[in-house]
Amino acid sequence: MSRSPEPSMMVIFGGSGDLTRRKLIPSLFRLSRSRMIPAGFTIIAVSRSRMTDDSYREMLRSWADKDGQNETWNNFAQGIFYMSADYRDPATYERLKELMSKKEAERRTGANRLYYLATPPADYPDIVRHLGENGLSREDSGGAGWIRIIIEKPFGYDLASARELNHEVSFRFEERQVYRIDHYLGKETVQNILVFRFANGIFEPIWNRQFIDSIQITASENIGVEGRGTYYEQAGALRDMVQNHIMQLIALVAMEPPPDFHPDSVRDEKSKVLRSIRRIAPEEVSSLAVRGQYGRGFTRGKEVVGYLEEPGVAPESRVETFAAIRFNIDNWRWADVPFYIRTGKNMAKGVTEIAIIFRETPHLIFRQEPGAGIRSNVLAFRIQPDEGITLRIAAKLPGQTTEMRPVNMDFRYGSTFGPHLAGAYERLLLDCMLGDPTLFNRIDSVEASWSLIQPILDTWKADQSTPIPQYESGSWGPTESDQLLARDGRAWRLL
Amino acid sequence: MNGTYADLLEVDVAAIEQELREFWKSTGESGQEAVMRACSCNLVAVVSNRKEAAEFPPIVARVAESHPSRSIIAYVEPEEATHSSAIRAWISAQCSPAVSVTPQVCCESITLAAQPGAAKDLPNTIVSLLVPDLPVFLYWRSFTAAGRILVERIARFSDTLIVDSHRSRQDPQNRLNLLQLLIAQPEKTTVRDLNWSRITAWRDLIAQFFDPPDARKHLDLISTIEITRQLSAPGSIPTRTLLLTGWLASSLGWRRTSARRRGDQWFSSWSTGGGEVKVTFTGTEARPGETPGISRIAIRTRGGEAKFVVSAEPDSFRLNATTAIEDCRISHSVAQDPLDEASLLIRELSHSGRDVVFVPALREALELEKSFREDTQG
Repeated sequence: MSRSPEPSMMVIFGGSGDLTRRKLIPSLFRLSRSRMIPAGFTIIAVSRSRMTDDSYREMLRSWADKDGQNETWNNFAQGIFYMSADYRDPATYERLKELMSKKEAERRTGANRLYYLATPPADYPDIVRHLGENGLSREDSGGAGWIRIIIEKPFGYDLASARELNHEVSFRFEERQVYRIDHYLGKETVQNILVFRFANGIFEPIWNRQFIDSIQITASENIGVEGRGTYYEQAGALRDMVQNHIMQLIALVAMEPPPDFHPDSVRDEKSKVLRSIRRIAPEEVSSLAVRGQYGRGFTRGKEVVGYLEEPGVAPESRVETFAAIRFNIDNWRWADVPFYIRTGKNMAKGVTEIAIIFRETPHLIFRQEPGAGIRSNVLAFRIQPDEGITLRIAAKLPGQTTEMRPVNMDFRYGSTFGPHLAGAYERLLLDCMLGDPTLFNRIDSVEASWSLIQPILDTWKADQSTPIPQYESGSWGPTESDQLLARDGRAWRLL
Repeated sequence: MNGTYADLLEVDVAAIEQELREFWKSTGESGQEAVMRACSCNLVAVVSNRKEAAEFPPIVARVAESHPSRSIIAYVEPEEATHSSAIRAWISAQCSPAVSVTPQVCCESITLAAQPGAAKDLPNTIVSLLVPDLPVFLYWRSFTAAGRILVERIARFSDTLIVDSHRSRQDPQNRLNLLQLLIAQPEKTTVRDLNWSRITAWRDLIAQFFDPPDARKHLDLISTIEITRQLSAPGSIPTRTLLLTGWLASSLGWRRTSARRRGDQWFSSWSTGGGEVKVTFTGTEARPGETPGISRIAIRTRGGEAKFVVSAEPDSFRLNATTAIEDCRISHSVAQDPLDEASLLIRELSHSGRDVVFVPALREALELEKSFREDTQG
């Protein structure tokens, strides 16, 4: 039987933003529709735009109409309220306090409050500070209700700002109240990495340097900055994808088995492995990290412009839209096993995948023609799209010879468990309401990730003369990325 | 899904994967008999035009019975069209006939048509559609100079490049360049030729003549080889005969000393460890009902001690092989493998890795053909 949270209220800062409209409200609606959250669940959306409750609900309706769920939506929408406000104005929080108290009484949500920071990150410190200063962050010692806060990534702009934000948050909230969300961790396949590793006896014995040659993580997008050039100029691929999503994927693949599935047991192990990743020294950056910028090309059936021609992007911009890095983990399990990661925009395919590439057999007894397609076994976790797991093995071709061919054994969530998978936000929002932080980032792992990325950021920032390698939109990135692996006698998988 | 392949469904090129998922989902929900979606490799076919693209799905359907694959058929339109899409896409399913209680096995086919201005974008579009981890077979069906740049780019991410070099007989101007391209492929790309497969049975039977230990000595004593071919048209290039001769020369270490051509009579001389070999191709126009191609190969040794003959039986798919050494005469007859395009492709997809004999044979055949041309031009 599914767990069901207590009645609660969610206050979304950034209520008129893209994330709220596209992800949060639809996820909450689906949870409500499937009776995963109790009646009376209340949403207060806070944003700068001037709107009333009705006009805000009307704006959200366009999404619900598409989903063909008018009746259910009307019922759900009765619990949505809108507050137009300036996050930096202390009076906002007085008004918010009043509104929350009023709605809590009307809708019987108890004193359970969940704040969601879906604003631009620059607003986070102000909101957190004001919540604290207005007595909205600390839980009542009498146990009247819980207070939690979800912080959307990015958690800081660099290591220093991440520490600063964490300091402010820690000053106002207990760590157990803080849920740093990375929606990748809510995806079924990501969670399945742990089940796959620790619930199947056959894999853990070979999950180490003796059997694994290398690991490749790809998080590629086949879209560009999509009108968000101004935002992307402040981010870049390292901040946007590597520091958070990809480092979390590395942690899940590489962590030691926790003693149990208690949130702190899992997060302790993740944090430990992140601390074991070798820091890349500034002088190693040029040989272990590659950046790139997309040029003109062709993706998703249309010609696209290069990054430097995108609106909001400086003509001389040196912001990377592609990054490939080789990491090493200095521990007994992973010594000398390279972890290659790559991410980029406007690439050949939109796909996120973790590939475990096993060592080749020590001696192949079957005589093969040169170039025969015998390669290593590969275990690939497809995070998106078409979530699933594939194992590549060699099989004998039918006939009188012992010619072999790689074949795939596939497990696809969609075809095995039906077409509807709970969305990542659904899972994570519910977990937060239930008080389960297992799939959220803890302060130490956030800082550990930043400390690994910071030397690369600094080195790239300091280098203002080396041309940024360009890659054709619709390709798999700059040739320098291929060379990163070719130097080690390896190649990226063709996905 | 009753036929071997379904009608093409035009889709947005940006949403091909999504459309395929919907396509299969609707197939599963249609309440018809269960189908099994299968894929053991990627088959990318570069064709020259829409007509050729339309001819190919039935061939893919046949191939899919033995090698379930995701097939991608790509071509460049001859001129800029009026529609807005730079690249148009269609999807369809190929299904093998249902057998007994097993579900029908189906696989998917994608057709891509690029406007001339978007030809350079086809390779990246194809890359984005490949099924990961499975071998990529690139079939350059037209084997014409027009598709060369496209094929060279796609070959970079393919495991095997398949051509039918026989088709280049229609493009004599570029034929030698095209063959040179095959020889120059990087080691990582295996090159295969349907035309080479057409002479596999002939090569097998010739090789078997010399398999018995006491017959091997005759290899050094070969003095004449007469190859008789039925011509589709006078003056046509003997593509298979050249390959067969190239194979013998490269395998046995022969060195060409002369080549000359008189109409459909092609003569070449070779220096060997044991002396000289004269190879003659004789062409006669095929009579109605006769299949063009090699019809007879006769190998004689010096002094007439041994004679080896392989001949095609008229009006049947059988080859007869006869060994005559001194007074001893042995004959046997074998069935020829089907030589239609689908059967040949099935055979090529059944192999992985390089055919180490092919490229040296092709190289020798190419040099021989050049010599004949020089003689003709001279």
